[in-house]
Amino acid sequence: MALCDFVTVMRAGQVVQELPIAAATMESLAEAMVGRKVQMGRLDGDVHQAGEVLLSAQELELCDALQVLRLSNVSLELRAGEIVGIAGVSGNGQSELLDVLSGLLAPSKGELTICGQVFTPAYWLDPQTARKLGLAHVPEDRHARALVMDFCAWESAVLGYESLPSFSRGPWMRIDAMHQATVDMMERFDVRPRDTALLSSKFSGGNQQKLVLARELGQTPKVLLVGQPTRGVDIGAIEFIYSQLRAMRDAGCAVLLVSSELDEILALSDRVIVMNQGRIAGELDIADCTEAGLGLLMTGASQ
Amino acid sequence: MSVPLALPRWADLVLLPAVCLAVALAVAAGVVALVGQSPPEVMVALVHGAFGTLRGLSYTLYYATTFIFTGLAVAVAFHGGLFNIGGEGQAVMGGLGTGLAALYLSASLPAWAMLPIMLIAGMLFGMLWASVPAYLQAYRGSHVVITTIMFNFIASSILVYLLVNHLRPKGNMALESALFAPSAKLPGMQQALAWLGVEWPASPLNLSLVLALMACVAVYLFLWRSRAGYRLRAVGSSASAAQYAGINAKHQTLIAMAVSGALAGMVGMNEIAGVSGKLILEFVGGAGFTGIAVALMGRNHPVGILFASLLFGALFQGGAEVAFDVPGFSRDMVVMLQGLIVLFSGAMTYVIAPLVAGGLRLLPGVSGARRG
Repeated sequence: MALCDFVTVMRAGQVVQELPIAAATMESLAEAMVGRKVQMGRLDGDVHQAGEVLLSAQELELCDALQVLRLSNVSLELRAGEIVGIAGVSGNGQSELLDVLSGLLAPSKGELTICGQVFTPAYWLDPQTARKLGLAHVPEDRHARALVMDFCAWESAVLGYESLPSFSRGPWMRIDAMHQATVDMMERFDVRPRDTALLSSKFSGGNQQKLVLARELGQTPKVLLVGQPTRGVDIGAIEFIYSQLRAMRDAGCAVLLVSSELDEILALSDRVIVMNQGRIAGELDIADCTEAGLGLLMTGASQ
Repeated sequence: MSVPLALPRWADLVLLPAVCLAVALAVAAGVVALVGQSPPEVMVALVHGAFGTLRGLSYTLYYATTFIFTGLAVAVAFHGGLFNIGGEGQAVMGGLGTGLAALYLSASLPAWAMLPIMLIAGMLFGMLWASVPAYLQAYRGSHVVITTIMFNFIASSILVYLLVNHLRPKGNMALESALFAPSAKLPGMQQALAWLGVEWPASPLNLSLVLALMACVAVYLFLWRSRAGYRLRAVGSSASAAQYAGINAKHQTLIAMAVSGALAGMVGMNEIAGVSGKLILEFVGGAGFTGIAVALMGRNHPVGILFASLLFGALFQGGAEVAFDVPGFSRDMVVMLQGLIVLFSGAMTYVIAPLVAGGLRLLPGVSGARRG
């Protein structure tokens, strides 16, 4: 929009629109790309009813191997039926916060309560325990973390859940059940192609992400941690992912959304926490959020 | 970015290895011609020596048995993301375990009890020998390639020391232990088939072949049908994704090396329980290293390893026959042929694969090759 004089839109290998940039709007381009009206922004009258506290973190502090403080005095609460957005310039502690809350990293100080269970640095949460407690995690990096690229789709689709009673019989995997679950996931989240034996690496980014979401959302978690849910995902899939995250919230799930896209934070969140240099720079209700105000908090200018 | 290869599955599993093998043989034929021998004559002698007679076939299968064990050992570690070069040492220690069990127990135990004990002792010794490098890798970060190589030397020194100083009967000049009692002898194929009323020539081939085939099935079930194998492969393919899934990579390193060492430790059943009937010095004879080539060529899959073992067994046996039959043809030429096969089926696969893919595209009706 900022650089071009003329725009051509292609869909499914065909040119569907050609027009000067002055005649195009964001919405019209998105519509031409997807082939139907796209709802990208905040829904009108999107109200939520926040319930009990499901996840509570108190004064988290994390030092990395070089003794750099990555998280400092981070406290937050997640309630049932709300989406809390974490806004911030990338690299200000959001990734570390996700890792600590999902049990991938133990902090040096702090306390975490998930669904009534308390964890301290000496005995921190691990990913398996997190899943058992009903915490699902859609990681920021789907290539390195969410999927095993050399695994078939059905193998990646049970990653982390391979020991569920429905997927195992004694020491063996129930491969037929895993295939069937993958078929269902692909159907529900429209993952293409619908080939459970295709290598995970052969799917497009958007379809990989849909498979990950299908897996993590499919276990009806109580707490959902989501990092960069739409990074590298096409516009049609973004709309779908937004609707799924809202549906989780409406079903009573507590959702923590980490995103470097301010539009995404504003479109989905009910409450926004801004992080800057590993600290919480501010917390705002969505009604009080403006791009300018968030921008000031993100850069630390308002301190 | 590497160019994605668009080979259909059958071409990837059958055609590509066959083409690689053919190229290796062609280059070898060139070398044979260069030293003044007739390539067709050598080739015929090699194939006839390996498969032409029942006796030759028996030797081929006997060599293949050992390669199956060491090939599977390398493959299991590989799926766990580890390059186990220590198959040789683990096989030596496994054979030591098998031999010690036989030396001390065979006089008092019947065969039905003795043979399983020897098998378990061999697996256990191989497992323990592999678990030290595994521990160092998992908890101390010492690279498993380095430590397993060093452990090969330590293992062979231990065997020499024990044979020279402790296990050699008094007055015996040869470096070997006393003979085991008959209960420690794994029945040969001739004997076993005679029970079934089938006549088979005398050869070192023994029931270890059955054990090796069972090991192939077991490794397949473990890697692709069990949850333990799933976790092992997850760590081997992507340590970060495995961590995300809550899989402890250190434990998987220990498991992969333990299974690998146990498989290598079974070599003693073929060589010691099946053939020599006593603990000898050179019973592994480099098979641990050949196992790396076997696993490489067999794409780390039990079925592939089965065929690759057969190929290397045939080269061993056929090569020995050629060296015997064709004057002026040394056994080193066979070693060179093995080297060429490893080179072309391992390192050169990705040079040959695009050519095969290009060739397939020229054929009509194979356009389904493109997938995904």
